[in-house]
Amino acid sequence: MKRVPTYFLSMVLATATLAACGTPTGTSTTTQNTTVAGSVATTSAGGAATMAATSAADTTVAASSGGSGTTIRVYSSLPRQGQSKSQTDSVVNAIKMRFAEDKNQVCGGKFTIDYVDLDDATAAKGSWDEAAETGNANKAVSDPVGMVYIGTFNSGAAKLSIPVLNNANMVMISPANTYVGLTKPLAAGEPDKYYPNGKRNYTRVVTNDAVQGLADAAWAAKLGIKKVYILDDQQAYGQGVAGLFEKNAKTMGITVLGHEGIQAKEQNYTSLMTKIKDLSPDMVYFGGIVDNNAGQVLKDMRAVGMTPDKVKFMGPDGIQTDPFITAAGKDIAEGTYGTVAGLPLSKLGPKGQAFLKAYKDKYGADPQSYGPFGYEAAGVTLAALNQVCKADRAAIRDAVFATKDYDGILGKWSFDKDGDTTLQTIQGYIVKNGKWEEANFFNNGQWEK
Amino acid sequence: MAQTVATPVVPIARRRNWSSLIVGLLLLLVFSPLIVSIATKIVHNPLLLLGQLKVGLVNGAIIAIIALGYTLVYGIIELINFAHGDVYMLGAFTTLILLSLLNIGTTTPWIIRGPVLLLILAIVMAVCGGINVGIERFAYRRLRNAPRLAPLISAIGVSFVLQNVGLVLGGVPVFEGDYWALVALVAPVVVIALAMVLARRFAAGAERKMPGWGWLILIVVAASLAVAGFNLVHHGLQSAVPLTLGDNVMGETAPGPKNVPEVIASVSAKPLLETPFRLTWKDLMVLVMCGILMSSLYLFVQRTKVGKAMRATAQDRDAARLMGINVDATIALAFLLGGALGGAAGMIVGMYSNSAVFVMGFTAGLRAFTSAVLGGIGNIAGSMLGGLLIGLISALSDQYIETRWTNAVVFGILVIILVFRPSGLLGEDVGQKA
Amino acid sequence: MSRAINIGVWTGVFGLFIIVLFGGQSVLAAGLICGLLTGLLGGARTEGETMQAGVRDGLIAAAVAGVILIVSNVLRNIIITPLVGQNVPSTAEVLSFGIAGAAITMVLGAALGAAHFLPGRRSSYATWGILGLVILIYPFLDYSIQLGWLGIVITGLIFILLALGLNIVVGYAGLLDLGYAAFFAIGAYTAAFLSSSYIGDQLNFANPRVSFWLVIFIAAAMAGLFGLILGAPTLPLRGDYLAIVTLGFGEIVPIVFRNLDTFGITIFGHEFIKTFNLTGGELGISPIDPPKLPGLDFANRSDQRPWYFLLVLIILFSIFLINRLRRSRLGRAWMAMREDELAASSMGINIVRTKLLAFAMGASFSGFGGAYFGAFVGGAFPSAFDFSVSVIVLCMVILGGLGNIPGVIVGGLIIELSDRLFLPQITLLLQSIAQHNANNPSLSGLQRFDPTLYRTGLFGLVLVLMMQLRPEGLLPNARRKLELHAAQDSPAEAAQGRTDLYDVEAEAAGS
Repeated sequence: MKRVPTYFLSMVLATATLAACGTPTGTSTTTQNTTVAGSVATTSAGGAATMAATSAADTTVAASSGGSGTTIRVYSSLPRQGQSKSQTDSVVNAIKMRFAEDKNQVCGGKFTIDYVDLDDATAAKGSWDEAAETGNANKAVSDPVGMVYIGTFNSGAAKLSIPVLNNANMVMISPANTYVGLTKPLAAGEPDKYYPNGKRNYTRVVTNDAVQGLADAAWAAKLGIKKVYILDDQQAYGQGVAGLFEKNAKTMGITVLGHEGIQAKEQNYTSLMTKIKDLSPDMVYFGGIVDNNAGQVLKDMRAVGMTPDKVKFMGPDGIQTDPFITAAGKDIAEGTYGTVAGLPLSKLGPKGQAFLKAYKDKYGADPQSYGPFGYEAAGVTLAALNQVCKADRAAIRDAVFATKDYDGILGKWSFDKDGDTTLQTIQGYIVKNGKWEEANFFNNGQWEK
Repeated sequence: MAQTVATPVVPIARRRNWSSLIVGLLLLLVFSPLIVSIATKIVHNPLLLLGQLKVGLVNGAIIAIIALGYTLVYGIIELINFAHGDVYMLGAFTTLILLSLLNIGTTTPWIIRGPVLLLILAIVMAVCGGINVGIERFAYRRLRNAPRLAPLISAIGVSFVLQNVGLVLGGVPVFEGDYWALVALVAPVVVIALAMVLARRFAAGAERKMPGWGWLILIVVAASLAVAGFNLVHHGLQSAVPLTLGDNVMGETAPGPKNVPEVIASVSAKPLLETPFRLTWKDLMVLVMCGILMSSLYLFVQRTKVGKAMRATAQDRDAARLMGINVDATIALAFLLGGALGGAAGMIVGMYSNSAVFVMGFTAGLRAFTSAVLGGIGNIAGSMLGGLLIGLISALSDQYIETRWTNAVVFGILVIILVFRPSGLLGEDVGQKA
Repeated sequence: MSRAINIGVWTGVFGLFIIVLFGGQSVLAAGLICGLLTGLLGGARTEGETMQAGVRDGLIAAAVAGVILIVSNVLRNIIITPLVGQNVPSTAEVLSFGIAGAAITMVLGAALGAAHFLPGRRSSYATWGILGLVILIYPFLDYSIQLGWLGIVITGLIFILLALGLNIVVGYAGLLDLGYAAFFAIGAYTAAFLSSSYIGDQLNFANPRVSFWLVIFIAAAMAGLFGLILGAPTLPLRGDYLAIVTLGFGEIVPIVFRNLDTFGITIFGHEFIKTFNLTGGELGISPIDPPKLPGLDFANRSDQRPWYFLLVLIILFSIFLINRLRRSRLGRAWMAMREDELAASSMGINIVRTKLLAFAMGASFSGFGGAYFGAFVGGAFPSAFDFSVSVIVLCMVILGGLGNIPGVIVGGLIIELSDRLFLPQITLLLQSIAQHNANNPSLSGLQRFDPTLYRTGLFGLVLVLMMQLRPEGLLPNARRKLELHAAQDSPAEAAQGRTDLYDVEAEAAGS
């Protein structure tokens, strides 16, 4: 009987943990039947039904069309584990949704699309992994029916896969990379060093950092900011935006008190914030993403006594997401400024609205900020494949680059010769009552109301 | 431990005096511009230094509490319990879930808030202690006589598993103020535990040693029963007495960082002190709680009979066994205490930094482990000292160098200290154990 | 007999796992793997058996596994293939591939079983010959049946190279090193500085690009040098204090590479070196030139066989070196030092030199790996050399069996393949089933089931279970086996022996 305490404690902990995992405590409990399904986040009652309707024809086609020559494989390579998972879930869901809308077919059924969702993160690392990304690119180019590569999420990863795909003439469409040097000159040797065969094969449906850095600095100036302290999350994206913000802010006459990279996994930043408070800035700019502790940065900023009326907080699309409000807490997040490249949800045309509605119906939540770009990347893929109607990588690449006035959910846009999108607008947001609300709009190099 | 404590290897020890002196001088020379510039900054604004020292003290106290968990376990079975950081993470998550289910916030009157917070602390400590004991039972006990690096890998594996549990927990929709969920959470656990105790009593005649997999199956079965019971109870109660629910505190994504509600004092509340340095109620709470935890642990280990048994087991397990000490139970106790402290640290951090995220255990664990070694691993007072030092060093480095160099500075200083004092600051003969 | 059947069943189950996961013609690869396993395990018996017995047992095990392979190939094609929307091949095709897979298993099983009982050294020559043949054939098989494992196998092999190097430090010399990835980083960055245009671009001059064939040795030398430098301060430390200091170095090195994107030396206002971007920061340095060799195209990634064979050569070369090292005076000194530093030093071994050389030698293999890794992935990034890399490599060494080269290789394969091949494939398969069966009510739950959510945990579980089943590692070295044997005889002594970090083999060595 001596073992009873141990026994009891183990029982309590295991049951408590598992019970907590397997229980929907909310109102959406209708689909609850198995313990496994219950432990998955954000389920919705309507999701399964819609899904069933949209892809009913799907399986029959795949089964009836004989012969392996009719499959075209589209790969995506995104970090599917670890901290970026919430974003990439949206991207992958949106891609799947777009393909399912065309019943996974192009050229009137001549080709069936087989979409493969590759992971460029490993469990051991919990974030994108160099070898995994190269491996994915290698896998795609060595597959004879692999035609399009959607990815990557991290700009650093793109630097590795672009040269690999370039040698194989395979087109790459990124729904998330914003590092300028991938397409336009930035650091020495960029971007040409990524394209060994001299022919561009990399496109992106997101606006790059150059526009955003300018827009954010312009907004700060418009808000009357005199002194700013800049932080970044030491990732390619965050550093890029923060760097361009700094450059533009200086030209606009804002004093930059300092620019530092933070350790993303730190428990809190009270000492850093104590230091910043001593310099008494009007604004703290954070280049980075929510999952690299943007919420904590803001919390500690308030905790050391930088009040919202004295010190503002601004960041790029990396923080303009609902998880940011969850992470920082509604009260603290109030008044945060966020900017997003592209059109705001309200300015999206009917197509965009339809996408948002369909997505919410299917997955029970709004897409994260990169979700629409995943949808758009899949759409461009389909358009190019429909136009070429051949399993010819070079032709598909050229067709993607030739995309002109594509009428997608983000509006009408084209790729320029470097593969950048012509969408150069930035939407500003402010957190009000625990929600991101649309504020000013940046177009043609200036902010308008 | 059973080996005789030998004097250090003589040639190395002698060589060290020379080489360390030279290395020390060189280091001083290389970093002299840095030191000068820091000194000028300090003279320029001494109040800021005071403020940073306070920050360092508060963060260091938390690190010290986590470090104690490493030290307790290491002292007794010489295992680096890599999973400890993740136990601490689960502590923060449990706090978050309980606070949200009970809907406790800064608006709750203290007469309710105080006892409830103490109750939550007790639950969190029990849960985390239990988790740690469970880990010991399933992942380490069988490896006690195995080559010593085997449990290390097992510990790393457990750490991955716990991190995954944290990730999954982050996706569970927990709604603010869902009292029935709380009732339903407790009810099946109590029922099943009672049933098991009863079953054991009836089957006492046939009691035999249960194999490890038997435990595993039992727990899985019990857990599934608990889940089913939870659903029944919760939904039954919910439909009988409906509740208006608040927001889903976990948000819509599993991996994202979560916000632990403020329970001590709201951000806009007036701090205790504004000059000469800012001291908030939360700072005070951390210092007081950590102080109580540390001193009670110290007293427990030094003054009680059980504590004595722990020390004896740490010193020589076989001799302890011969003296009639139940070694298995003592080791389990060390894990229980370590886990409970980890859980408490999780709760303190939850209330102080107001956040929980599934990867938070790794960095904190690394820092804490470092401070345990810095103080002399296996030495309780040493861990406390090490934790405080690491907290202070990081705060000063954040202020006077750059945040992105802080980890390098912390580890650099660690290396330097260990080179000069190879068994840690307060470690005496432990260095010879391995 | 029953042992052979037992082994056959278990390897067959592993084959089934592969076939179910990958489908298509993967049954051939499964046959290859099962053949190796049954041959090496089923044919292996204690002394005194004849060659016929070896062939017989190998064949029995292989036959059992083969039958399972054929059946599972049929079942996979009937049940799962339609579910994931692939075309179901004809029955004849399914059967013939199944039989071919089983045949490969039986041939390999019998051959390895026979090889095991050849007299004298011929036995090991024959075994290695067969293994070499398999290593040679594998990439061609991979391409012809479009398995797509090669890239992952290459990555796995890089980590195995690292594990072999770490094995010198931890396994031979008994120094627990938690910062091994630092040397990996140094190797990769050396390659990046020497064979890319990066430095020249930063400082505006056309820097010479050093050829890969030279870089790989320079990188090894650099890593070795840093092994010496970082090893020196750790000399007085022991056990876990050593571990934490190496961990510290492992943390510092990537931070330095990450933060030196603004590098310059300014002392009291005087700018000695103008600030510039030395390491590329988080964005790292890319692209790095691939190796060049007439007749082989390393740049074309749709055919990675040149990379594979290059790496296999490097690894064979490393194994050769490590084996020679182990048997040399230095290797014996390492092991003596591992057992008892005091005794070793009183026997006249120079502890300082021995320890430093262990660090340097171990690090230089990591440098090899780093240079190859840099060229293979085409870049060097600070995040590739985190603490987690050190930990995983350490896991490989311990899981496989400390101090034993085949063990380290097996451990590395298991960890890398489960993390990079099997777990992602389980995810893909489940997702594919969900994608193609949205209208099937019994499978609709899969729509909401996200397998990536559980990968980390599964990986951790693999580690824990492996250790519970084989705490001494999968293939422990001979000395450890003896020790554990002795431990079973006298539990009291075993309990005493466990306090030592590695082995206490007083009894074992004496017997």
